Amino acid sequence: MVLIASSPAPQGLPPAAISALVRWWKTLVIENPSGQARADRAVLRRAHDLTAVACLPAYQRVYRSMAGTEGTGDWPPFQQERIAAIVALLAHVKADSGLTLPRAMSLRAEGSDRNPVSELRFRRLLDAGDVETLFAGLRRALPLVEHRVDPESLAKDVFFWGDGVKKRWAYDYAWSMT
Amino acid sequence: MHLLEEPWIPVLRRDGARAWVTLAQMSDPDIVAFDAPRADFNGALAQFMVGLLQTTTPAASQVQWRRLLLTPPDAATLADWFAPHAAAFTFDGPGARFMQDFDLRASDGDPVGIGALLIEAPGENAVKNNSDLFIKRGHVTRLCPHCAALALFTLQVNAPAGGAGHRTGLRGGGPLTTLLVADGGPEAPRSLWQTLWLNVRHQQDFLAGDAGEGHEAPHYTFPWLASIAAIQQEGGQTTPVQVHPAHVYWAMPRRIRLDMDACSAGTCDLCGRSSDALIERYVTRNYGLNYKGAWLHPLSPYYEAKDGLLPLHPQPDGLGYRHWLSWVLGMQSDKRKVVRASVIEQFLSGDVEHRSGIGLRLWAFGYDMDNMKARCWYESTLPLYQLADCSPAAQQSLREEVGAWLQGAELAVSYLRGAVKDAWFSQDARGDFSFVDATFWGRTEAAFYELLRARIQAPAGTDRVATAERWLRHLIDTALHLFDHDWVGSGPVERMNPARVAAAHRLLRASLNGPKLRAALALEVPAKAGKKASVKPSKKA
Repeated sequence: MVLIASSPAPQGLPPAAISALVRWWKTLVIENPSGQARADRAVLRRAHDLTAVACLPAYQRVYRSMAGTEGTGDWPPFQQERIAAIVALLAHVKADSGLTLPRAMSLRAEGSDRNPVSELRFRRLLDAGDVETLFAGLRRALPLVEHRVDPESLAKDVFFWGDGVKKRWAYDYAWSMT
Repeated sequence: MHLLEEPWIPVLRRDGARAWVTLAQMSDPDIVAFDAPRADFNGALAQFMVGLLQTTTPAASQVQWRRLLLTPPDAATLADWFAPHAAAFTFDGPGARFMQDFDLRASDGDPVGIGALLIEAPGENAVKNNSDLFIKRGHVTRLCPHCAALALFTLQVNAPAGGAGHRTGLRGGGPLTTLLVADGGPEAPRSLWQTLWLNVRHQQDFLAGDAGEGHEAPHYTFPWLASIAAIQQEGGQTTPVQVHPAHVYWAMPRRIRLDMDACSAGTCDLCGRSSDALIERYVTRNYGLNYKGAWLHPLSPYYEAKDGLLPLHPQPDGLGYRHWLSWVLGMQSDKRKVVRASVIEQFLSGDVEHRSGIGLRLWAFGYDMDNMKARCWYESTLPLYQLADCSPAAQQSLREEVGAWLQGAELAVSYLRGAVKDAWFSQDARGDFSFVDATFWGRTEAAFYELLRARIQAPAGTDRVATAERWLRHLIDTALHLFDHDWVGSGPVERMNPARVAAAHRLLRASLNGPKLRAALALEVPAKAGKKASVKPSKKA
């Protein structure tokens, strides 16, 4: 096995990087987006796994714009994978509802007696042990919340996916037994 | 061996050396602590010495008492105090022996191994069933006379139920004892004398009108000086009115006589010193003094039960700051009434000028007994800070305030325990959840004492509401932290039942921020605000 000689140190998700990401996302959802934005959105939406995302120039451009912000550098591969998931998922988000994912997934539509994302499906999401599984799960869950979620909280939760985020999700989701 | 002449008291000197001294030497300012080979012996020794001083001291006024606290009597004076009672402290010989039955003789019945004097030793039944799993039989088979005297006194003080007619002690089996300790800080430890003397009252206080009229004969104080028939009718009971008030320190519930004839030479199994008179066995008989009635031991707190006051006993949850109030100031809440030990009561309700300037701690200890079985020995010292300088009025307001803090903590720990249970188990889970309580009390202890010290040292400088708010904040943070990091949150949520965990968490949060806890802390309850939180989660996290 070949070790990568100069793998960068893990880093968090600095505010500047998040703004760059959100700025890019807004170019996708404004009225009459540019041709470039439409094309990026289309290829990102079609990518069905993280390897496919990583190979897209569209993703590479967003990644570069994030890594180029002040106080930010290259992320190590395991974190790049998470950013790829975030970028591809944001391509599916059509509007900012101001809700975190667990809230959006359990906010019932007027008159409905079921959560948009069922408890069973939500538990499977919680069970996602790696980002690939989480990506697949969320990609299927986003249509159920009508592609509406707070993009910033989505980015943070996917980037920091782990026991802490899972616990917060479990607390925030409105379980029917409560 | 005579206990007034023999150097049989193991003590610790200021330089850290262990020594064995006589009773008259106990006022030596160089002695800082007892140093017996076992913790329960140290506790018994303290009670022995306090009892001996209380029984023999001529000090009859607050002024005399105060003088003796500051200037300990010399050995000759102490010897003079003890001399009139010399007959009671013979340990061997043909006649009356210290803490041993007057009538019983070594030939009366089957001998019992001397190790059975120790509280935790496996009983006859455990040996027969081969169930002595943790503490094996045969650890202690030979005791030197010094250790035997200590073991005997320790047993008589703590006497647990021992089968038909083998009586429990005057305060029941394994009582809780609370003693005042003179505290000079780690740099300048106070002498043991001050600690002992703090727990002795002058005679007017101690006798409080009951000088034991008609009970001047020595056996009313030291029951081993006569047949038990001289005190108690056959099949009868022994109540406080039948004996001298000082009897309370010398209660002898068990009938025991050590066999001093079958001795051997060798090393003692407890202290490791060599002796040519190691005691190996004793005989015992049932139906000794049966202590009933309104006994009030001066060194123990009592709680109010349906039929009068009962002595407190250590419980499996140990000793801690949650007991501070009831042991030090007493408790008068609707749920629970506890009367502090009368020595502490008299000390703290006396003249401030006679006690001010003394650094104090409280030393609490005792066995947690399950009938005959010793479950645990608990021992703890609790800080009292400058409580000796507090006026009665200040003590009263302190009692109310600390009472509220403890009520709040009790409530918070019950919320936490319930939440952990709900998060882990459906329906009613039975079992021992005391580990939750134990960690909660442990994590909040330091903050409690910090508040307490501030409150005692500067009663005017602390704001009641601000202090209670701080305590509330700490209770909430600790409970949530324990839930999220130590207990429920320590495992991956997706491997549990997340819905149940989330519900328990939500309820815990709502209860901790609810009106009940604020009310328990005597804090203002915001109108209505408490109710909404538990029903509907707000929309944005």
